[in-house]
Amino acid sequence: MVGEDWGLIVLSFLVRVGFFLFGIYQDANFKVRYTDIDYFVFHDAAKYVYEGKSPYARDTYRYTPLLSWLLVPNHYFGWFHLGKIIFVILDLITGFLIMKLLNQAISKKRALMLESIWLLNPMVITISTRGNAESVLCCLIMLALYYLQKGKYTMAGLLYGLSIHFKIYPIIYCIPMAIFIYHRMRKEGPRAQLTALLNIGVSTLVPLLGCGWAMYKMYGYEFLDQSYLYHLYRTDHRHNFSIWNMLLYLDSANKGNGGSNLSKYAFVPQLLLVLVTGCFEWWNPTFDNLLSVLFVQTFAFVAYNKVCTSQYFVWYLIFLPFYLSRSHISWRRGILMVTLWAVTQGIWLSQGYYLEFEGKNVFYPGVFVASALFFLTNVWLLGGFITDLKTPVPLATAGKKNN
Amino acid sequence: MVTRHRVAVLYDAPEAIGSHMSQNDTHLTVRGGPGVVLQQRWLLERVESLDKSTKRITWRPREDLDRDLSVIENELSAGFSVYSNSTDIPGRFISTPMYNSFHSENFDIEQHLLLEVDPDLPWNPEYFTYDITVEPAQIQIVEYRPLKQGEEFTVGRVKDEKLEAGVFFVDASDEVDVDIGGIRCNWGMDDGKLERCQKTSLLYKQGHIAFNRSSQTAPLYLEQPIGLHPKVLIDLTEFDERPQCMYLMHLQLPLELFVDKFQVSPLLLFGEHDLELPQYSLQDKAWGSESIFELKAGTVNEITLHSRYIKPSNNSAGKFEVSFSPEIILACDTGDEKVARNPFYKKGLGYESLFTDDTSFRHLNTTTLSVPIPRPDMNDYSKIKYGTLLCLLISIVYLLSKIFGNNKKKVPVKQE
Repeated sequence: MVGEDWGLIVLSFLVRVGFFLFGIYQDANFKVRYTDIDYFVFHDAAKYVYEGKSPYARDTYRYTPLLSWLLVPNHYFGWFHLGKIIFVILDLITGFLIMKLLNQAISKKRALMLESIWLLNPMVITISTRGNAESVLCCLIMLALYYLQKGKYTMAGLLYGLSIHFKIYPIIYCIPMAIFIYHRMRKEGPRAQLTALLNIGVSTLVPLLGCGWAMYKMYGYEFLDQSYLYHLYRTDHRHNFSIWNMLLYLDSANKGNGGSNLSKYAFVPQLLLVLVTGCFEWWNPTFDNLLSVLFVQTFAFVAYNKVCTSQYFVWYLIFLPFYLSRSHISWRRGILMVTLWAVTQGIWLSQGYYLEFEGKNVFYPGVFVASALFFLTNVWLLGGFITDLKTPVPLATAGKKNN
Repeated sequence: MVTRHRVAVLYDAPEAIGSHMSQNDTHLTVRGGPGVVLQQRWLLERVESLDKSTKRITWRPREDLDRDLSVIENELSAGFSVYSNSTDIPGRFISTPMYNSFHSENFDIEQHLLLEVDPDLPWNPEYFTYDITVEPAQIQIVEYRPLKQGEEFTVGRVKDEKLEAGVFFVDASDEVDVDIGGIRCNWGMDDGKLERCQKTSLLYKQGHIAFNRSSQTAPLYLEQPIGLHPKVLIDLTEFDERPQCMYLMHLQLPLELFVDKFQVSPLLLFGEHDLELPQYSLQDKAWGSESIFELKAGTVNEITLHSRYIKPSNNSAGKFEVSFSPEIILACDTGDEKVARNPFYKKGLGYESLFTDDTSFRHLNTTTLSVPIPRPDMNDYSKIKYGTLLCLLISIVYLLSKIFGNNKKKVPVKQE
């Protein structure tokens, strides 16, 4: 870490403080609140925990109880906004870890720019300062990867297991992670390979099963149902970016009445792509490539998911700096990609606005076509990422330091 | 068994009685005029049933909401409501600590009122208002109807009926006390002849107080445009806080709309308050929800509601609209439990029972609001289904070709 790195961290911290303070001001003085609606859910759930009750007493609390525990200080100190500071700190730690993990072979200027994709990204900053909990998960995943790179498999596993306990989806990372370890330990022989894999495997299962069991003991079936099962069986979501959204709506309204079963298989293309893209680690089993593979995998997961809202974009955004550090995608093409992504998203948002705030009946073709356009754009981007991923990295930038 | 039947007509001045009433041996005829209200009450005895619970059924047509309340009436909620304190809760009813309730736009009387004797009532839900109480020993049916200019009502005794009629005028009334005078007539039980009528006067306290809408208004409307989060605005700028009183909004919301108790903190909320599920996933569970909000005088109050996703339409371009009628009420502690009952009505189950017996209610405004809820059309189903399928197929083929195809780029000679 050099002075410029610390400078970026301090600047990022100050910007977040600014956003945080503005949020308090906006909440107090404007009709439209700055604070995220989910933050009220966490905050209310934490109140129940503080009173010795179950966080699931709060309707729509569908997370691990650990998250509500994290916000208990809100009630202990009686300050509503306190939890946001925790989220901001975790968001900064994530940025710091991105710095640590970013290939050191690239120029300082480029590194600072890439780090800024996270640290100075207004989307990331608003998400944590508005009190959205995504930064908790991002931080856990980044910490797990940090220890993985250091070869500390037990620590990596413990953190990785905890991240899966928080939200199930990081489980998709197990394949590329296993491939990476398998190759890294190759020189030390099959025994060492197996030991390392067992080590991280068991230490992943310990917090995953341990937390799961403890939460089940404490909060019963409601924990399983609300934090996990609910996300699987629910099909009647309100409008969101997902290509599946309209079909799910019509099918859920028409149950047992000639509706299709197509939406039941929503997970099939998603799983297929996530598995296949995960295997890209095999042909280039470096740590840098692992981070790029995770980016592509997450991007595919989000694009094909049956629910998709803006906060899901953060899931792949944490890997974007790494991906770009090794990408061959030209500036011009990159700008086209970002523009298309933003424009199709904008089209969807305009339809969403007409529906949500003007009550216009734009379900079809409006919302549906906008979802399809956004989906196809995402697929096109994904195709570009895959081609790029297959392109070998020139030796000069292959990041020797990290292996 | 004998049915007791009572007819009461209310005019606003004593002179009106003479000119609007006529009689012969067996029948009494009254004629309508502006603001004239006719109340009929039947008391039907029941074979004492084992069920000790009480049930109240009320109906008020939406068109009746504009009419000013007279002193012999209680103000009922618009639509069809059933309240019961039975421990046995039928499907789609919602529970409150005082009663279970059901609410609907349709006058489903046959489904909810089982009559052991049939008084041959000509139900007229289009114009009449009903307040029915079913107790273990008797059933009381009260019907109100406006008797308009040019309308006539004639009554005579029918078989197995004990009939009496009262024709009244308002002698004096202030906000609390009512003094009405008039004549009261009885019919002979044996010959069915109209016996001599007697002068009478009644003095009582009102539980529901008519509100003079011409001097002060409490506009009630929806913020435009109406989206999926309709905002009800209640303008109480013309009102001041009053000691011992609370300004309230009483809502009976159909299932298509709901209250987020975490967002708008109602005083009371009963029934379906799920924050996410669509209407069609909940329709077997409850009819909707009932809630009471406290409002602030001197300002425009905002209550944000939310609409649920509803079933797609079947080949109809028509908009789906859901209506509800918020009631803006000034509820006051009077310290006098006499307001709980009078010769014409008594408080029963329903929101009244959530308040102490000495509470009086002034109805400032009830306006029917209509919320359009957008919904997709099932006609587009196959387009959506095949469109989705097509997108997915194209995407999978494209991505598999990218994954397995020979599309490696040439490595750029120089990076950085």
